[in-house]
Amino acid sequence: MRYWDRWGLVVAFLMNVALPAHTQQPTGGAAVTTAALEKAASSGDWLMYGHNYWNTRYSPLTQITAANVKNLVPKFVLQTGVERLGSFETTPVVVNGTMYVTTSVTPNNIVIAYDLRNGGKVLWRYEHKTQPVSTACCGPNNRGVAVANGLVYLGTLDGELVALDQQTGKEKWVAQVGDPAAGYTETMAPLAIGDRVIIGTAGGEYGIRGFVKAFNAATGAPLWTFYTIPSPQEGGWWGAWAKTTPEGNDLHRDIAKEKGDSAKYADAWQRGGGGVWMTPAYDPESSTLFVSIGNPSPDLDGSIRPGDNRWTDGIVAIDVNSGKIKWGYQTIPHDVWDLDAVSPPAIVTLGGKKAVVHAGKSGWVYVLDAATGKLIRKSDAFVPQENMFALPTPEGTRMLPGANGGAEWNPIAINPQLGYAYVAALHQPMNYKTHYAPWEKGRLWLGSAFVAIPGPEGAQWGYVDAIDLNTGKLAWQKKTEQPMMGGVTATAGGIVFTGEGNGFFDAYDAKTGDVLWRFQCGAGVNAAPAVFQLDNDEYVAVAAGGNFQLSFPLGDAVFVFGLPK
Amino acid sequence: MGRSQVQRVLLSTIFAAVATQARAQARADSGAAGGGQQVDSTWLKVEHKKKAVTVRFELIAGLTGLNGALNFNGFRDGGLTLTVPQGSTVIMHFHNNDGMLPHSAEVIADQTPVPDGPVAPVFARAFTVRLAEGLPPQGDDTLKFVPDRIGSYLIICAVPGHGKQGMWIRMAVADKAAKPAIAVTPPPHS
Repeated sequence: MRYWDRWGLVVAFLMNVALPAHTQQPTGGAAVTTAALEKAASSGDWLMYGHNYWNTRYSPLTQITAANVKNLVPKFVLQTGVERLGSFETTPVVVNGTMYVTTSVTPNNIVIAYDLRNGGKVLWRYEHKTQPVSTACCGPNNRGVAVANGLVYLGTLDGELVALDQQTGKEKWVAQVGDPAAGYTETMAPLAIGDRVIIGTAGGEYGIRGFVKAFNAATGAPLWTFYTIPSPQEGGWWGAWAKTTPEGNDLHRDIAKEKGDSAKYADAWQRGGGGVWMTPAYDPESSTLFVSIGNPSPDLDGSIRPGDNRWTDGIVAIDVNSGKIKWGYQTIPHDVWDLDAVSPPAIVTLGGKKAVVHAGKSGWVYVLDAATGKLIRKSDAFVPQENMFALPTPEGTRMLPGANGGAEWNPIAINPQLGYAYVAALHQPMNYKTHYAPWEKGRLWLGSAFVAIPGPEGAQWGYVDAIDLNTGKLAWQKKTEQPMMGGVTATAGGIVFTGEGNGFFDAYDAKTGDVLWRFQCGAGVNAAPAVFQLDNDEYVAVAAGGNFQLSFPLGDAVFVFGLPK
Repeated sequence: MGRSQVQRVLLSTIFAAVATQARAQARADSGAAGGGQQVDSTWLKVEHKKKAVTVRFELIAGLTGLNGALNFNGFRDGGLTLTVPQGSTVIMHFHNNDGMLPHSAEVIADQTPVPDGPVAPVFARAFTVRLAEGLPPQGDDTLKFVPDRIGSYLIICAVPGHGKQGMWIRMAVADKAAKPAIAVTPPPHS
């Protein structure tokens, strides 16, 4: 980061920071206004999934520092009491002392509002009568709510968007987003923007046609739908028949054969995948959503879906008012490794310009010009890569990263002062095997098998990586015992918080990566933390409930840590 | 019944048998069409000691990519049947070959629809540990039980959603004189 950019950030920080949104603009336990959401970056509350519209997961709070973080102690342990068969992946939203937590969906979606000023008392508990869903490929979960205008918005596993009264937890309206029987499920935290609520869909493992939708925030009426898989009338999903990634990596495609097969598979786009797993980033100034888009369907068998399969594996900019695309950047055209774009994008300022940052399952961080979608740079690999883009075969092809990445759905965090992006990453060697299968509605449709490799050759672990966004170089890298699944949060106090599958919740020095503190939570910490201020004290909250897919120990508690009095 | 009539019946019986076999094979190949999973005789071993029969069976979750790896030994939706004699000792070695998802196994009563999660096993200890959570990739467990009732049963993955998604095969308990066998079988509703 250049000298003046850095000082510019510091000045902006000092002008905006430090007080919670409710002291700048009262929200009470009631409404969170559009103005408060637009200023969330400077708020001591945690007002949305990614802390602020730029999805930076960067709290401006400075009470907890590298010097005192070692003193953190649990202040609350909020046991939700739900069955423990899912992944507990929520990031709590905290508004003026009220914490909104979603649970794993076992079997129902649940939202609990806790009054932290009153000892963590449950203010209300909403339980959605979730239809039985057998199309949650990687285990039932939910990643959080949106709060705005007196309502709490929840996406449900059975494909609904629900608005709850923020004071009582009573349903105000319910809108159907997608058909769960066909594989459309909701696990992401919605995003509230002005008079609308934005939500995508999971389901790329079931042959869905992915989308992002906008609903009227007050009524639930649908406003627009952006399909991540363009129809032939919209330009088709064939793309430019790219032989390489945009950065020049050979994808080993037989373009002539694909073109020859294109008529035979002309309708493949209708079940082309492209799920949107995570909450988009949003730039209010340009009214632009930045969305990460998942894999094509079926995952590994590209022979039955010729073309680039746009916009799968892409980062796409969408006008929030119209739902129209502004630009798209496909990190891997015609992906046959499930190395898709899942981790939510974040917006940063680099060299005086806005840039979109995405950590790929490919193992690279992509930095794109927010206005044009042009690549500014691709980082060094943040996980081991081996035999990259070798084609899967029926016998199996070993390639790294494995199909979980790289970076899975794990949200990244940005420290704007250092210009670093922090990534929680996985190392899972796998053999990629193709296996032809016809599409069947509601059935898992991978066209493949991902086979774990036994013995030392298949040893798995994780990393916490810091990437200098100005150079693309690894600033530091720390190895963890297990693959990392959960996400990262950073603070102006110079701390990076993240958790591990073995139950440890860790604080890293933002600049050096030194582990400064850790706490054993007793269940996998596989969720992204929230940092917030309550009256005069700073807290960090994280769900410790494990991960179903990776068999990390399950639990049901949210831990809230603070400094001793 | 005249000779020609006998021939017709015989021929129709043969055709029916061939058709049934063809349907079974087509089903085994389908879902995965092209997968064409064959029964591997090494999955089954039988030991006779005096009058006691021990049946050893390798139960492999996610052996192939069929059904997104939601299969046992490359078969789904009841496409494979393990036949064991009543009163034998069945030792079923479970291995999760799927690199992405946890899986489990249990023997349950024949039922439609297949349950969406764990139910009571039909024979004592006829289940893997972590039935609902499943065992991770490369995870192993052994089911050892005595099938003491003749009948038709299911071997399902009890991780929620997996059985319902087709991750189940069949187990038949035949009379004590029956020879243990594994065979491709037609699904129950085709």
